[in-house]
Amino acid sequence: MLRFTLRRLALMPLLLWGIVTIAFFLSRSVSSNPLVTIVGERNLGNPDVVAAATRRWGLDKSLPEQYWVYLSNLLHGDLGTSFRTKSPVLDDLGTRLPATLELAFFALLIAVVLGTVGGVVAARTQGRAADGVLRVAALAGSSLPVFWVGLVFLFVFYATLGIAPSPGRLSARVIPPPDVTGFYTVDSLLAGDWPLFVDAFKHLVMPAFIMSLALLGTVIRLVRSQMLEEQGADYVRTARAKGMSRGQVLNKHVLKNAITPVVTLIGVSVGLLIMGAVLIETIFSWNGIGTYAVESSRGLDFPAITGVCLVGGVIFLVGNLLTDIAYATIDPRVRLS
Amino acid sequence: MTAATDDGTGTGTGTGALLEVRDLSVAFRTDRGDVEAVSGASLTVHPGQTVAVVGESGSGKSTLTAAVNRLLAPNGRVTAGTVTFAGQDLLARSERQMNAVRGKQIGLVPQDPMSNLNPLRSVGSQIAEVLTVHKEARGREAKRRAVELLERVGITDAARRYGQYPHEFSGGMRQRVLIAMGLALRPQLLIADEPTSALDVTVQKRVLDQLDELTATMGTAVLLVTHDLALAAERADHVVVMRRGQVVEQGSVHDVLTAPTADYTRLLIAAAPSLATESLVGPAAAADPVVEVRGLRKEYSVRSGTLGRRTPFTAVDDVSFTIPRGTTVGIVGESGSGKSTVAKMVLKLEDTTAGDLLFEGKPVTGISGAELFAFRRRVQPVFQNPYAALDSRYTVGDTVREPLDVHGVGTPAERRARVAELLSQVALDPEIARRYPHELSGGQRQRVAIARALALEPDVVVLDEAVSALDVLVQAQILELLVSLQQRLGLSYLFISHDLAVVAMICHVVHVMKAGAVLESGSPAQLFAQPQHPYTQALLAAIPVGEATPA
Amino acid sequence: MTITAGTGAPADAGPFGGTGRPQAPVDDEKLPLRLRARRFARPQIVIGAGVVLLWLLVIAFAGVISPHDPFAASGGRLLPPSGEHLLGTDSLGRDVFSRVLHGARLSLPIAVLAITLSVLVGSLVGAVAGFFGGWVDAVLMRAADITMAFPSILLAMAVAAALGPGLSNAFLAIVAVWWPIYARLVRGQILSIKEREHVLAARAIGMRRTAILRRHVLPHSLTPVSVNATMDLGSVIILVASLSFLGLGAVPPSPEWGAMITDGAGNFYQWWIAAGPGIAMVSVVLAVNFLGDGLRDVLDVKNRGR
Repeated sequence: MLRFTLRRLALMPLLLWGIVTIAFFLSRSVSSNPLVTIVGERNLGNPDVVAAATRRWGLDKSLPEQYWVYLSNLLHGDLGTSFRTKSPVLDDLGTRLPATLELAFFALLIAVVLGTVGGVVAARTQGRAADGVLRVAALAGSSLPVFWVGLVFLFVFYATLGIAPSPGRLSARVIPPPDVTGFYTVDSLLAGDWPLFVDAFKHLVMPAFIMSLALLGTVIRLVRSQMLEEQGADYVRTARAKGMSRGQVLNKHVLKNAITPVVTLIGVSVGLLIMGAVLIETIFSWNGIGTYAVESSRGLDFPAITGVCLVGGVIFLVGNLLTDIAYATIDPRVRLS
Repeated sequence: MTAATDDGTGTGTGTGALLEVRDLSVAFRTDRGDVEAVSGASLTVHPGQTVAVVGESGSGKSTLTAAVNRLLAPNGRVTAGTVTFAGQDLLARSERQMNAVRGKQIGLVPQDPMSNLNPLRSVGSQIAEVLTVHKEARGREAKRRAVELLERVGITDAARRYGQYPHEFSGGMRQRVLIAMGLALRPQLLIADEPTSALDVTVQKRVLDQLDELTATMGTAVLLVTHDLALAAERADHVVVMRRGQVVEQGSVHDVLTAPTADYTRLLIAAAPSLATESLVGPAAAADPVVEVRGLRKEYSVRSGTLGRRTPFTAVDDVSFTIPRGTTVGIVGESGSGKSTVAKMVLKLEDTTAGDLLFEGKPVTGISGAELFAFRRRVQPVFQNPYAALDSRYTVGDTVREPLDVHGVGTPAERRARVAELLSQVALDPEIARRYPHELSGGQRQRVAIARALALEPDVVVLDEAVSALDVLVQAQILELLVSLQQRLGLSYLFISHDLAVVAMICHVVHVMKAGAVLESGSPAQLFAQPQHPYTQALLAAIPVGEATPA
Repeated sequence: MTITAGTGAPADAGPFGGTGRPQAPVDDEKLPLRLRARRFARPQIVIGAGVVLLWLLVIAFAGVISPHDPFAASGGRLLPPSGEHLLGTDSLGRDVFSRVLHGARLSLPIAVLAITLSVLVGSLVGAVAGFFGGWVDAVLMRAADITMAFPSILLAMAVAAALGPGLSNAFLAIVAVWWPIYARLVRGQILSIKEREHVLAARAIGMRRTAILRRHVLPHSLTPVSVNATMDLGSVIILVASLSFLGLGAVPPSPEWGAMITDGAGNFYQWWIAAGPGIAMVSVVLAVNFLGDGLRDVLDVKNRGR
């Protein structure tokens, strides 16, 4: 187990280096001129400004040199400076990351809880109406384009019915809680500000739910199929031969065995959640990594793009590693080998 | 085990019989419609008696016992008949009432110990569960009794092993755990469904001895399901022979074995290797060795320990033997003995770490390229699993013809003719060349595999557990086929098996392997009469010899 | 001629050898052809295939059945749905319904092509890695790992940004992101098939490794790959639209669905502009997913009987 973890940790720098390199060279192979973003369209005609900007931003160096500079800065924790915001990429990411994490966390929670319940119900009512409905719903969940659903929900629940709050993390003119974790929900609770918590929570519900849809469908299907498979397992028959009723067997044996793969799913879902974040945040005016990624991409902001890819990669890899550890904890066969 | 005096054909209506099954029929709903698995079967079990239900696959023996326990698969149902246990009609009881019966009055010891235990829960908790479910004990008391049971079935250091998981136990020990679970509440009847078939032969004997001892002490009646007639004869008082869902014959072991009334029973008795007295082959004529191995050695490096250090694992350790032309050399061993690895090295499907391999006196250890290609024509395999041996996407004809295609033998028309010839040689209708593997039975597939092996007219055929997966009657047919092919074509065989009785039937020389080394060698007659090595003796003792040697 | 006479219980070959129970490898069970056709008649497959067929017809005949020219204004701007314009008009006065129909010609074939290429590239890489092992395997799988560690949307965005806007570049971006999935899948399949006895037998005859790969190993991985590809098709269609939504795929005046939804987001209260392409996309993806789900149920032996 220890060896397994160590091996994975050792592999991470290699993978991250790969990500950084690919992101770096991809973002710089663009044909358009990033100077447009840096100095503005108007100043492009002014040779002095252009020259000064080129020097200042290191764009006069050759590409391999720029790469080397970037890597060495990276090792010192410096992710470069954004062309657009003119502030360090690390700071930019730092302020925006909690917003996305908060959203992702709730989306994950919804998907896992609702998904597990749905899957268990579907398995128990197998072949009957409830199962059919749930299976179709699960399939539908994976079939919906997240950004479109976001628009639809906003239109129906906000613009038309007025139930949902306006897009954004908080209502207009509401001051965010003092920054401890960056999660508005947690921070407002820590500050003892209940109305603020409610406001933040209400704004979270819709985007988090929509973000959870794709994952929700997968969880329902996975739990259902795992439970059905476990129900047919030999040890279930042996348990019944001991005199256990179907319900007892389900609760004491099948459930735990079936839930285990859901844990592995969490590692995989990080990718899905990041995708959801990128698409949803722009619609819901959520100031997180997703919005940053889109804006950087449009503005050809190399350092920002590379930084976002790096952060995304780290989150993905850490998520995978935690999942593997969790799985090893649950399944004694993996733990003890 | 009390000796019953009646012949068990169900004349006693409620006269002290513990279990009475009358005219039972069971059907399954499948894609192809309803299929009847058991038709009008009847049997009786008296208290303390051991009744064995014997049959090949598809005989319905497991289904019958599942019906007694009312644990049929969801698509199965009882269509006719009665099951009376301790005077009560089990088929009429509700699910809830059955739950009270299962485990407490009727116990089950299932077959495959790995899949029959929940891998994510400790072994001890699964035993304790029997007690808690029937409200016989709770908490610490249940744990204490579970530990006691573990000790009772022969697991040492029971208190510590209580908390361990199934995969930390060996196969034999897991089976003992299942026995502990089945007998935990001292049921009146224990259903043992092929309880040792998945285990090594020497382990089988120990586990079955343990089971006998426990059931004798507790006075438990046992309904033993097995495919092995000899095993049934050794362990049971009564035998019920089933075929295709029907009871063909039943009676005391002595009666059935010495004076069988049904033809099928006679066939079974004749085919059972451990009951057979004569080998199928005569003594070997002296001949030059066609294959010779010297000092063969195979090492793997395996990761072990917390830091994953690579340690060498010796699968085959200094093995030497020869295969004289026209004879059958057998290698016998349990799992992990290295016998299959030896086979693969002789076939040159695995490299040797050390040692020499000689073919017709010439070394072939390090050959490659064209030489290796030529060598392949002379040594061919037949493997164990008839389902996996043939590629399901190709017809029988394609499969048998493939070696000819690869080596460019003859014209296409000649190859087709040869395929027909080969199929006839293995007693198959040449028309079968157009069929796909899934349309064939296990025995037929194995014949096709043999035909393919013969396509290139090899000198040596390596048979790796080639009959182990077949029903005993089919097994006997294939063995006879192999012997006749050997006589007609002058083939030499390397016959690998875990079953010493089978090996004795067909081999001229036998080598006994354990943990990578050859422990003893000799002709079957020698080994059976005067085994020198304790391991050989243990193997022999593990062969169920049956009650009487048949005529 | 069935294997066991008269039981509906799982068929086993015979008594179990001391070392294990032989069974058919999971993907190898086949029933007679007649029965196979019947098994495909599940509601999911029928509905899914039906809808897909419908859209194929739309793609073929979009020019004929569209009431208006999708690229030219045919009415006032931002008109709500009416008899003349079934889904209203967009910000440039173009008929939304016609644009939706023509959009199918863009979104769907691109997605199919992207998946096909991903499958081909990925399978090739996976087959080579799995079969030859050693350092080849290690290098190829590390490359796959790195690509998979890249959050797919970000990588697609980066590639699309680097290559510039345009649907064909979005297509390449998707292939770049998607191939490792099939590389892993095929590699896993090959690793498990490699040790099967019919492969050993082929080696014993002296067949060359590449021939064995081609004849005996790859065909067996066909089923899981095709099931997976069908299920992935929906995700790719959505991904294409997502990239266009973000401005990285199709460019105006293209009637690609994702781009249309961007237009619809910009004109939020004219709901019909986004509703049309959205519902179209959902129907296609749902149909494809139904089809894939149904196919998996039929072809995956383990799921049989559920």
